[in-house]
Amino acid sequence: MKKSLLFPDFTVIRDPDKCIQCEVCVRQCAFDAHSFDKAANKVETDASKCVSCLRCATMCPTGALTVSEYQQNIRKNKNWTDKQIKELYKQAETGGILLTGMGTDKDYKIIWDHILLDAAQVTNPSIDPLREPMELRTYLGSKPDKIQLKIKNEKLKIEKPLSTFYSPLTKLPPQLKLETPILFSAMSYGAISLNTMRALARASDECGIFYNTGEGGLPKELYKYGKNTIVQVASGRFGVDPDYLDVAAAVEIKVGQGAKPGIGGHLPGEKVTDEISQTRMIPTGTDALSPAPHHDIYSIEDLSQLIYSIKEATEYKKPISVKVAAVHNIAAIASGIVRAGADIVAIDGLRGGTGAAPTRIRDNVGIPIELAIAAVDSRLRGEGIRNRASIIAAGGFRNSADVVKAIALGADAVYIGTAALVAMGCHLCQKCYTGKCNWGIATQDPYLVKRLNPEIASRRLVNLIKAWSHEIKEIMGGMGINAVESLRGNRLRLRGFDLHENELKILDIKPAGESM
Amino acid sequence: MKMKEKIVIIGSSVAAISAIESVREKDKNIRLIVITKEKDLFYSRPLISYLNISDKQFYYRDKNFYKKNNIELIFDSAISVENDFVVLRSGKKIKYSKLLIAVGGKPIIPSNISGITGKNVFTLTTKDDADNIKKFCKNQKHAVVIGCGMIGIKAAEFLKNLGLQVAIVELAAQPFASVLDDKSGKIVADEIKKHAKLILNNSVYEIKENQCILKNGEKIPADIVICAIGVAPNLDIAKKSQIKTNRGIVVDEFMRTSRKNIYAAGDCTEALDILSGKKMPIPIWPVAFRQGSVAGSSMLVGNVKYAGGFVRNSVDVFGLPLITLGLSNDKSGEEIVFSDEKSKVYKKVTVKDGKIIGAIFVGDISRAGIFTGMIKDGIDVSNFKNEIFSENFGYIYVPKEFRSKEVTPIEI
Amino acid sequence: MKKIYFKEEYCMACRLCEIACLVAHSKSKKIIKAYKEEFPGLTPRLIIEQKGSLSFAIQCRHCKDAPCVEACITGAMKRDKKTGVVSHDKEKCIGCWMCVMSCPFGVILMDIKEKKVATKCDLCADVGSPACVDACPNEALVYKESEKV
Repeated sequence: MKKSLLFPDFTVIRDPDKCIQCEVCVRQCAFDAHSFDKAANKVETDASKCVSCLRCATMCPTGALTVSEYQQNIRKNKNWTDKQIKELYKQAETGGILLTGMGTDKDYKIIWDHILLDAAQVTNPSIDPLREPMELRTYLGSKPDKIQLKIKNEKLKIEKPLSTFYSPLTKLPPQLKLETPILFSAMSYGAISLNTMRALARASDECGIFYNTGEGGLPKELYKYGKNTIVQVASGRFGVDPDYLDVAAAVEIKVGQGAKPGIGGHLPGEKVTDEISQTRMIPTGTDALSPAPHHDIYSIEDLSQLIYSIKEATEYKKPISVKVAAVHNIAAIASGIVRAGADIVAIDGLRGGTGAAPTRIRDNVGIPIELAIAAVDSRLRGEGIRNRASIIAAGGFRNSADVVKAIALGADAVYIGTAALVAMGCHLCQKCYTGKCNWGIATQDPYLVKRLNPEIASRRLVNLIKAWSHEIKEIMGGMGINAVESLRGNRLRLRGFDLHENELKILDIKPAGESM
Repeated sequence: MKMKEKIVIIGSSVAAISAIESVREKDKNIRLIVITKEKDLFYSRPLISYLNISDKQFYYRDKNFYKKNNIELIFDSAISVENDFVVLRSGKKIKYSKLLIAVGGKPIIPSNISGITGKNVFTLTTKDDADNIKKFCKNQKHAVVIGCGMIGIKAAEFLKNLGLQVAIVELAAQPFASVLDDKSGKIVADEIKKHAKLILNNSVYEIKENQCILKNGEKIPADIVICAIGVAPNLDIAKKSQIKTNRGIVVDEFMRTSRKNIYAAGDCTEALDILSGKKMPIPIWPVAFRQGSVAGSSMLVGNVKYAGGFVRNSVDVFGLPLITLGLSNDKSGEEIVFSDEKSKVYKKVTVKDGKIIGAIFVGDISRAGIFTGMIKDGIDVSNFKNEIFSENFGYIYVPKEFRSKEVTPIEI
Repeated sequence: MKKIYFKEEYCMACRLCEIACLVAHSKSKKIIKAYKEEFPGLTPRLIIEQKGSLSFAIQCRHCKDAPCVEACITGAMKRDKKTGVVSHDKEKCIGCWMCVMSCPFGVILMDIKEKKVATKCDLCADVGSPACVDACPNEALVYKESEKV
């Protein structure tokens, strides 16, 4: 075979003074970048195989390994960057579509970093969250247009609770109760390991939040976490049966995903192990193909049929969510979804993650979630139907400030995927699609899945949620807000900095420096 | 037990010590009397042939053992048991409420060798024997050891370390004839030959003052002769006391003999051999320890059973480690063999009806205990027998449901 | 008593426990120094077993009816009736390997480099908590209370 023109992405530096030839790196690298040369009695490294997941460097007991970017002096060119050139070589050598994992790493402007939060000073008091109650509890689901009350024949007395005098006549549609406005994004069994799912489920249970099965079905073993589980019904309809719908707290119809809008999914047959075949309810070893569209949904009316089919099946006891990718027409799409009867609209933005997606799609399709939240919230308010559904925003939430800004823009809660994976050990090497995740997350290899101990991972997730919740309270307190309800859609407390006028208009926020 | 009651133990080696510890673990106060022939109490018998070892190594339990455990010692020989008394050589009678006979084995001395009772002929089972040999060996040159088994090898090493030239005469065609097969026997024989003269397929016909005449007429110099053809259970007391004996003192799983309140443990007994399913003497240290411990607890409460044992041994043949387990020379099973002649490594496991019945390890004995455990627990090895000598073989091959409870945490 | 237990479902055979064990029982107690200056000459006191994707680290189980204690002809191997710890006295050991023959887990190893003696897990008695447990990045080794002694 002709020599490849590709040069390595990374270089691995082994400090000979520190390396003790213990071979931990050899055993930890599923990409075989490290090997032990028996004859020379020495550990060797082939950096061309390195994906910079940093598993070896993290596990090395003496800290002898450093992975850095491979520096080759390709003539600098703003247009024809190293990355572009390498991708061309790769395609010239393989003739294939470029595949990748995780959210886009392209240098798009991150609007979150151009939105600034307000704080209370002098004229309105800030609140100390350590002394005052701070409410993060969030209910997701359709809220009635109006509430009818029956007035009881009692004389009003200030010391008695209101329920003594009124009883509600309106029946509240089913709601998801979250202790903090964060959920774990849909990640399917197959894309991630069972241990990873166990960790997400346990952490959700402990935090009083929800995780999402994705389209891979729900392993029987996790049924016990049903009250913290959102199950997905996607175009492949994998793993959907009455038990699956029954056990869940909510059902989500997945139409689109931020990392690959308009694209279906493909789990290669070799990854469909016995366990996955049982969970997905497909034969072992067959490719699991999720079509790009739902073949029974070609209109809002079709979607409505599916929503109501599921509502019927679940006896109107569970909220139904519809998840779509943030695309150009997202506001109108969201309006249609709400009118179709969805209780929750989940919108996944441009930077949303994936286990596998064509690079070109991931990096070029969709719109940033910041703009999508604002556009959808404004549209639904304008149409007077905002109360009919909750909005979950998804796609690249990195920290608690992003969450606060999203809620202030109009979201009810956010889905976090990548952040949760990173908390569990992911180093964003983007090789999820290879199935060789050295951190035991995006793999089904029995050698690798053991690396993620769900006890440790769930502990880390719980810590993350706890930390973010504390920070959200801290930020809200600074703004003088004591309930997340008062933050929602409160765009007055946001300012744009270094944003274009059109962006400000869509976000419907004022530029920094402009008063109320 | 009432304070008046007392436990009497005859013997002071490992079975006795283990019984004492077992009794004292449960009852600090009951009277314990030990009757022993030994002058030196605490030493370990297998170590009598070792020359360069410290007192710390030689003494099995520290000097205060008997004091700490509140033992009354009687230095005398027990002759027999009458009613509930032990009759001593001195004529004294010791009353017991529970009696343990732990008198061990007696060296076998063939009667058909002329000169076997000569002054230059010794056996090697006690410290006295070793001391006498040491004394006798001064200024002597040639030694002959009759028998090439455990004691024979240790005797040969002992004499060699005392500066003598040693010849070992063995009736069989190879050393350790009962436990080694041809191949391992040859490796061991070759090793012995580097250090001593090894005469196989032969026997001593006559012992004279300075030489031995062998069956084939050959004459070999012999200033001292050690008879090491084996040990048999010591049945002297039992036979005089109407206690049922066969090859050894017959005991049940509580170490009870046929006579009420009399127990026996150690090399003098015959108890269950798990490999044959029959009762037979298994004169090895760990079995004696276990039986002593069971007897000790039986004499008090009696709820611990002896689960049976099987023969096994670890011996160092002039630096070459050797372990044999169970029916190591049984030819009826399937043999799984690993051998590397260059490094003098030979390993064999014999499998019958899916279970390991015996094993031999020469040169490389690492982790041999895993097989001891598998024999003891009767693990079915059919599924992995071909991997027994693979690099990765280990405890992990024991099926999960048969793993010891010692590896699984008990939630408390 | 407190014992070390493995959780095979999380053992990934990285062998960091073995490295920690070696270092904890080295002279310098410093990893790089121990490996560069004392190796080979260090015998780990635990064994990592692997069969297919299954693996675990196993060390002395401190058995209740410890076969090694029964088999030891010098009394070097002892079990403390109060703490349940099976300990090994190097000064008393003569290297007869009766313990090696007896241990059903095969976790008594032979230290033949310095002096011919057996060697086994001492639960890092002098440090407090076992180094292997501390070193395991995946909590596949736990040091926890077992049945009562």
